Amino acid sequence: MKPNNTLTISILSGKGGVGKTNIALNLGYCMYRGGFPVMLMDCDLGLANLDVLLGVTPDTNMQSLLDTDTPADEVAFPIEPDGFDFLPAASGVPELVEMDSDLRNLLFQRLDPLFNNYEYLLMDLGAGITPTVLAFAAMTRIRVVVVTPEPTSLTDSYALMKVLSTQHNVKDFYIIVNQAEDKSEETSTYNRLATACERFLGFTPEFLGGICQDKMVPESVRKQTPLMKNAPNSRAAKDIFSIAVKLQKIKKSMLEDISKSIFTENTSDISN
Amino acid sequence: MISCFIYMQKRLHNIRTEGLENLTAELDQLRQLIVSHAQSAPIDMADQQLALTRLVPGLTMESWNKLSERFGLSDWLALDLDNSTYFNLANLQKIIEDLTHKSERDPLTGLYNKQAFEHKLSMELQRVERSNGQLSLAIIDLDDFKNVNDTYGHACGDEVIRTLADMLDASTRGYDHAARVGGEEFALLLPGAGPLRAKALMDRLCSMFADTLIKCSEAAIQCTFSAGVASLKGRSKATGKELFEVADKALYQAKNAGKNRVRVTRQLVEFEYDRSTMVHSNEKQFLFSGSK
Ligand SMILES: Nc1ncnc2c1ncn2[C@@H]1O[C@H](COP(=O)(O)OP(=O)(O)OP(=O)(O)O)[C@@H](O)[C@H]1O
Ligand SMILES: [Mg+2]
Repeated sequence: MKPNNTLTISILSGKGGVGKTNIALNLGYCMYRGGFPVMLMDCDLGLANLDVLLGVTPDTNMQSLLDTDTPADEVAFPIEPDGFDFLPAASGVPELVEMDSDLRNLLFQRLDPLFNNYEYLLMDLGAGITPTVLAFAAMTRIRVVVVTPEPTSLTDSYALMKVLSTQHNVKDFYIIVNQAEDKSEETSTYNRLATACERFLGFTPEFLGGICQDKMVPESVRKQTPLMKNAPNSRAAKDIFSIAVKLQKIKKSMLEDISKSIFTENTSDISN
Repeated sequence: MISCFIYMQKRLHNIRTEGLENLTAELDQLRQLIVSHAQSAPIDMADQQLALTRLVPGLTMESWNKLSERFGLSDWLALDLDNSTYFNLANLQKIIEDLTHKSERDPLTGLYNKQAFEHKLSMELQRVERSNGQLSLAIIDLDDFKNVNDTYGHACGDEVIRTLADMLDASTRGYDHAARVGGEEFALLLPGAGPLRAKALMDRLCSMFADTLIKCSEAAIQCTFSAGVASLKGRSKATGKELFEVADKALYQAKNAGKNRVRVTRQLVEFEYDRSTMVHSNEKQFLFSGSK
């Protein structure tokens, strides 16, 4: 069997609106421009909006995989030619948010053949600690938790990590601090979260990078164009680029782990 | 794998809803079974096909067409069964229904027997876990029933039991399940009901039964019962046995407190909740202030 080479990354946050979708999209874009095929999977099931950020309106979505015999590669929507694809989710489908393990297994079983074509599988998860979010996060090789300096964002992401570590025995996380005013706010935000984890949960999440507050981000959202394409020289774009480089290094160091299988063994013990 | 379900129609009037109440639960379970089976089945089975049939007495083709259109059930195939052609099939279904009914029912009261009730309970538990809903179980025990038997004889004892059974049957909703689970012990399963609603219902039944004069030969017997209620909510891993135990404890309290009353356990199935994931105030404090 061909060894797996896809790195699965989930992008999560306790609190909503902290920048997950923007980060997933732009990290994906960076990696694609670096020559690595990327699949961007909208896992904010039920309230999907990656399509909005991309300004695209795909005809099919993951729901079609569950309802019909649509082949998986027909659901993948090309954002850029040769290697930047997007897997849309349905909006306004509450059943998807409450997906049970049978349905989840069915979904991934259908998608599995598709995933091998990519170097990166980026999963943009919904906010909160729903069973679906937890199950998806526990599956991926890498978990990136996005926080902002706001106290509510800190407590919510802490709660998320606590649930994942106590319920799913997942204890490795990377942190991105988004929308900090300056480097010192960025560092103090990360430090606060990291020391709380260390003290109460017994593990230290790793700092992946910071993305500064930048008005080019909302501007790109309005233009429905990735920031990396719309304003590649903006400060936020440079921050995201550094993070992408760092992830590529991490991927190299994990090659042996990944080669065995695309997801972690955590998939089997997901409880509802 | 393609499966289709064939609905069959027998009579024009009088739809018997008895088989239909459980249809949703049954279909739900069937769907899960099929999905999980499909996952383990080899790919080359894909062109195998199977039709599953089920008779639905009293449903006309006309009303089925309406339903089908309204609820998007067009992948179900309906066959019109006229009695002469399909007489044997319809008869067979009837025999199966009768046999199922017999094996599930307590002969004296017509309520579910213990075994059937345990099956219902395990199905409802699965459903609660899936839907994150609520479920209450009441255990009902006649007070001083031995006295009734000793004073008035067994025939009258049976009459008391039948009277309570009829009351349970009549005062509960179609999707509640009532059972006789022991000599003078009954159980009531209330899907969707939390502790408050279950308590209200049981209190009503309790005073209604205490006020009932049960006539037997020359005597008019007055009898009471005590009940214990256990409730659970959402994704609990509680088993039917655990729920029974909790309800039993509440029943014991009701008896101890002087009988003819209902006790709802405070020990909801919260004891099954995973508290380890909760974020405590000291953790929040630490996150806000960064102080040790
Ligand atoms: N670095 C930044 N600078 C300025 N604005 C930002 C930055 N990152 C994100 N935003 C803004 O924050 C808003 C929310 O971003 P986004 O939709 O990516 O968050 P999300 O975490 O995916 O939200 P949800 O939880 O609703 O899915 C957007 O309007 C975006 O423009
Ligand atoms: Mg989002």
